[in-house]
Amino acid sequence: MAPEALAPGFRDEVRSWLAEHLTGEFAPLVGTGGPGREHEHIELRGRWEHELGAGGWIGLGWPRPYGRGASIAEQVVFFEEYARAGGPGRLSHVGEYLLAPTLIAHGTEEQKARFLPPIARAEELWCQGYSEPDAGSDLAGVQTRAVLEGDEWRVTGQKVWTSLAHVADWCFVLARTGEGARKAGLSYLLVPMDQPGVQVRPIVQLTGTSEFNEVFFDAAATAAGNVVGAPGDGWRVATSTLAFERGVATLGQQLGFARELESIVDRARANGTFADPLVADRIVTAWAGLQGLRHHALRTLSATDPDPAAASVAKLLWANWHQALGELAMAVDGPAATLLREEPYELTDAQRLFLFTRADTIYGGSNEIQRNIIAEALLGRVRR
Amino acid sequence: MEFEPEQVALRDSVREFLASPGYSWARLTGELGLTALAVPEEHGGFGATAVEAGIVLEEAGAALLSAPLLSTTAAALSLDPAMPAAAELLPALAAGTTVGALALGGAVDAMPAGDSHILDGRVEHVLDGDLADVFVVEAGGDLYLTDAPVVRPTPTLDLTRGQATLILTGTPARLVARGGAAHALDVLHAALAAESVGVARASLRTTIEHLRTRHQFGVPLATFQALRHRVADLHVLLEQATSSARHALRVAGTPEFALAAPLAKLAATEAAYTVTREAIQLLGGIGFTWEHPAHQYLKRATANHLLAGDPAALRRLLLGRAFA
Repeated sequence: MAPEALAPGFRDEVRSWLAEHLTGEFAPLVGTGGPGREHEHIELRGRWEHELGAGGWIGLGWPRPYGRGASIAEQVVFFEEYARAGGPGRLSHVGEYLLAPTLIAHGTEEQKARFLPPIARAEELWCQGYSEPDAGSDLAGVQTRAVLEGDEWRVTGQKVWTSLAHVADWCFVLARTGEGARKAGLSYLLVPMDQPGVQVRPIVQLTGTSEFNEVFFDAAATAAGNVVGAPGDGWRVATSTLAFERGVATLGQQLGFARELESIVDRARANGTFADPLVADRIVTAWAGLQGLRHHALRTLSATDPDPAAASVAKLLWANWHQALGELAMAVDGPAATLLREEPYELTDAQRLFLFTRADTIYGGSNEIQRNIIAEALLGRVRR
Repeated sequence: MEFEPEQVALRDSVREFLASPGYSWARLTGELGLTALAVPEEHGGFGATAVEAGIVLEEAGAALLSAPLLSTTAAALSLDPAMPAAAELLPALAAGTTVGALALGGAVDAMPAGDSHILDGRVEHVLDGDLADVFVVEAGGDLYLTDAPVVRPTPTLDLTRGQATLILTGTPARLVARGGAAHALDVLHAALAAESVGVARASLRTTIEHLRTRHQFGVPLATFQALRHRVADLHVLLEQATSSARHALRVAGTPEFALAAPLAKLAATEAAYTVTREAIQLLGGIGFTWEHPAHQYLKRATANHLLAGDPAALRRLLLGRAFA
């Protein structure tokens, strides 16, 4: 069933709120802050997050009393309308979609009461401390260590690929606290970023911009109570967060994709390549693929059976499609796609899409890891 | 679950029935009432939706059912029940006592003759044309019913489903859907999509079973990552195709169907064609034998891929409909 039919009235509410608020001082934010533009208007986007929080739009799907208890259909409608209105890239989504569901599933009442309301008001932004230089796809190999000293944990180690670490107030960190090997002995700690033991260093990507950081912990402190789940149970807690991350494949994201495709079609019409049947064929293939993503999202949204491979299927589908779209954008621009928009390294839309989508098949679980997960569901586990 | 409990029950009963030996057309239509499913109640059917018809066709595809279920269902769904000739035919199609087939895309002229018409021309590749009692023929964008063409069965690569060429020479026919040819093609696309999903699913299931049980180098084939990742990619392809096929059936009767049906046919027949070819590679030598069913899946998938609009034709059609 179409989300429209499941959320009557809600769409109007979202649409009119966005029309009334994404204007005035926030007008410059329309269409900014997406992939490849995450460095834009950071301060103003922080205020916009406060505006969203005050409007009650953060934590929409969390259960009451912390959130609005909105249905999946309503959340989809919000994403769609947000995308349609050109809402800027979000800063509070790591807390809202990754930490909060983890706390709701595994946290104590005290932790929920302490951490959820500031996320909902966008007063505290979060980042995710999982990957390390020697623990990427093999997340169980993390080496960051935390030791309980009196009433504080002391965290030491290095995290990498940490989005938004430079603006985040807190980081949820997967760290080794016990003696067990690999998945045993890990704990899920909540660590404040504003302290001398935490250093953030941006990573310059192949785009020339910096969306990710390295984070260095040197005896960084956090209260003994800031562990989610039991000490040593961090693997189970963390992998549930990964499932949330992989579940955030939404119809709203697809509206953004549709806009990217439209702009490629516009360029193809403008530069005459659309008249080339071979280019038109690639365009209609991309368009058909996007419709397929939508059909798939609609079907899986209405499914309530937990399918361990479903999130991996969705990730492979959109990541591969989006990456191919970047390649199509370059093909449509032709030789012009080899020239910068301007110096020193200002990219065109096609270049930005092409370069950024190289990461789509890597982050959030690489294609190879997703295939492993699917294969495990279909063919069983392989012991090593 | 994306299906209602009654839909799951329908799927399970059809699956069980088709897995048992000795099913017959009489039992499929009489006992299970499969041809009656999507026919309106006032015309002798059960008044279910295209979704239920799709569930049945998916199972029929998985079983490589060799019976004119798809063609009769698609013919019934293409008729305009407001036309007297259509209303007269529907109860017999619903009961399965008359087998129908769609004859689309031919070169046929219709001329008025009294209260009815006569047809002249030729239609090739009529699915189940060798078994059909009546034909729903496209001419000038309309659909006409005839039971009197010259039928020339044609030997088919896919031995599980026949085809025929129809030759119409002053053949009497009655109008059953004014301007209904485009919709009939959409119906056929959606039906072939659902069936192809079933074919691909059965082929992949057979392949997975083989990989889990066959040992080489002292371990099951299923432990080799080179094979595991290929199976994962096939699963992704099939899951997406399943979504598009089921979406088309859900939006049957809405304006979106004109895009959703060819999209579903494109996605599902490409998926089935890829899965069934890859299945033979993954099965190895046994997959190349006549004895193993892999070739039957491949041949049905190949036919569904190429008939009623191959992928290039579908993309051309979609280009026209979506980028006009």
